[in-house]
Amino acid sequence: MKRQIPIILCSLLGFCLVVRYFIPHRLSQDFESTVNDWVRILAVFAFVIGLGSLIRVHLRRIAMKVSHWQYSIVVFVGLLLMPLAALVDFVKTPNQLASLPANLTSKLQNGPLPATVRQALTEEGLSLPPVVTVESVGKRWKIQEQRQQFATDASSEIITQLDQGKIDTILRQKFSVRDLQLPESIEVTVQSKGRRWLLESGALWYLLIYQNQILTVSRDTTAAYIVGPNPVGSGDLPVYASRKFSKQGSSVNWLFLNVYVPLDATMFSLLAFFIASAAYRAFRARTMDATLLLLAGVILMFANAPLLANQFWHSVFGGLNFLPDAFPTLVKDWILQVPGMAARRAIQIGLALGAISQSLRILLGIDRAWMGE
Amino acid sequence: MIQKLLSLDRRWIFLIIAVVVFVPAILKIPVPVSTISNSTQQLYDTIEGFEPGEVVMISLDYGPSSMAELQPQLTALLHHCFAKDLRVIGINWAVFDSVLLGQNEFDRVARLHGKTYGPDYCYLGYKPGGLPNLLDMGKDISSVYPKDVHNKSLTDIPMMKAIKNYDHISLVVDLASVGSPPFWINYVYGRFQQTLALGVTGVMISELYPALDAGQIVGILPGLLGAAEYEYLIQDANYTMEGGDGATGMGIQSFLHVALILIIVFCNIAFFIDRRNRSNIA
Repeated sequence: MKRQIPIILCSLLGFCLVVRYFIPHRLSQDFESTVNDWVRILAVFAFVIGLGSLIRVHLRRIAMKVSHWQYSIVVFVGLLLMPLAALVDFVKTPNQLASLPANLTSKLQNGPLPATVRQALTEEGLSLPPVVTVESVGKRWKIQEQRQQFATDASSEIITQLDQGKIDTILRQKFSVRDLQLPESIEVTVQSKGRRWLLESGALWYLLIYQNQILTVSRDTTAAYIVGPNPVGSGDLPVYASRKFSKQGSSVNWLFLNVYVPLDATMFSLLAFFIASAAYRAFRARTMDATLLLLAGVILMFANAPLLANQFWHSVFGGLNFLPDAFPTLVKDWILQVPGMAARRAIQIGLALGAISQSLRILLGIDRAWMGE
Repeated sequence: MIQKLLSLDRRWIFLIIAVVVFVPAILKIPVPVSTISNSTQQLYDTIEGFEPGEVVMISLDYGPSSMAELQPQLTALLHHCFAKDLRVIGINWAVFDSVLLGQNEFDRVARLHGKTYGPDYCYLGYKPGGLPNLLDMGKDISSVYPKDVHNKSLTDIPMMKAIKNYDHISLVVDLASVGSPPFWINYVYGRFQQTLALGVTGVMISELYPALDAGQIVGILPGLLGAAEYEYLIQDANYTMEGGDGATGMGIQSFLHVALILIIVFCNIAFFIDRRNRSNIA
């Protein structure tokens, strides 16, 4: 019974899912959705089981002091470091810049910032951009600058000035009519001469793009302040600088970009060295099969290196008019799309037939390897 | 002598590889491409044919180990989409450790094009569940992703108000270093007839050509070369293209391939001389 029930359940559910695929009725779709929800829930538990297994295996290695057991300590350091960093980010108390009186908190709602709230925040010493909106985020409110974008015509003088890192007075006027008061000390960075410039002043920045005689000015949405959540025993809402809530600069992001990414990339990069060493020893034309493999490999490597396929090929064989310019790429495409694809299709058909027969064996209860038998 | 060459200490080979990788990497020698693979051109033409406002979903199914090949593909694709004023959705269907990689790059490229999170692009991140997530997105994306990576409800994201399922997405691009492409092809194309394209690592190309030939996918970006080719196409069309590593990567890849080809030729010459010597002695 202990074995029969799981087998019956597996067969029943398996056949139902196969049959369901051919019935586009609503009930059939609801059944699939329910099963999918179950799969998602089970997948989360798989993470928990995986974590438990990882901890058990490495605790055992440390306890038994097997060879290189010290590396298991590194596993635990890594395992604890990331959640710890996330916890630090979460509880890190931001510097409270101001507080919003309790009688104004009811005025906060999604949309433009009410004038009374703006006045209260300004009196508290906060500087707000001219056009800001309020957005509810959980128990907090985000006060952010509205996205600003406009297009204007631009004379060659304006473009020349921008290329020299300056702002033309006419352009400054064009900004001001849109309520964009550019600070005097704004820095102009030329990103692509004659086409793109970045205007920066502290946290403020504007991107200028010149295309088809039109200059497009963009200002990204940037969260200015976070209001709330309400501290216990007080009706006033604290107001924080929003940087704390951004992913940039968080401990988790720093660890990910500066520890995890380089480590993972380095591990994989070592492959290049081992492949080269293996190629030296194994890529030898011992038999006809080995020679064909060798030739195909060399042709693909040749065509995948633009220095060889483009520059070298054109300089050496450029004069041969009967050969097309992209000859190495054409040969590579032919190898991949004709003999390579034929072999791959044969493998895929074989795999598919194998998968079908294996699935049927499981559904019919003939193969019970999934039960550990 | 020949025997010594045939059993050359592998550390010498490691040294050669280190030199041919590090020198162009440090000097940042760009090697632009001038011929384009069919599969890359097909993907470029597909996106080029879209009208402003159409939606492209990009699934990042790779981790940091493969970012050298696939991150430049993402950069180039984002530049093309934003330059064409397409709206872009980012997800991580199969691999959760690339959420920050994708999120950071989406924000960076979007900022270069003056695009805003919400109306122009959004990032939904990773959800455990695997295949059921792919199937359920065909009915209702919000049933799989009720919120985005910023914990914002999909109903509060302007662009997502009009996007319910695959019917409202013009193209899905799966950038993969894992076994995710067959799932996208079998289930998302097979069941929902979703237009699909792939960007994969160099070693995965050959297994995906049958799908391209059958019309199940509209294009493939083949590894770092695909990224370099795409960058070339974008620049050729006078679109903005900044921060792509494809052309620089081609410098490293070119020198590495030259070294590998020379190593293989060299070892085969030694092998034939050795075999001739042995047959003469016999």
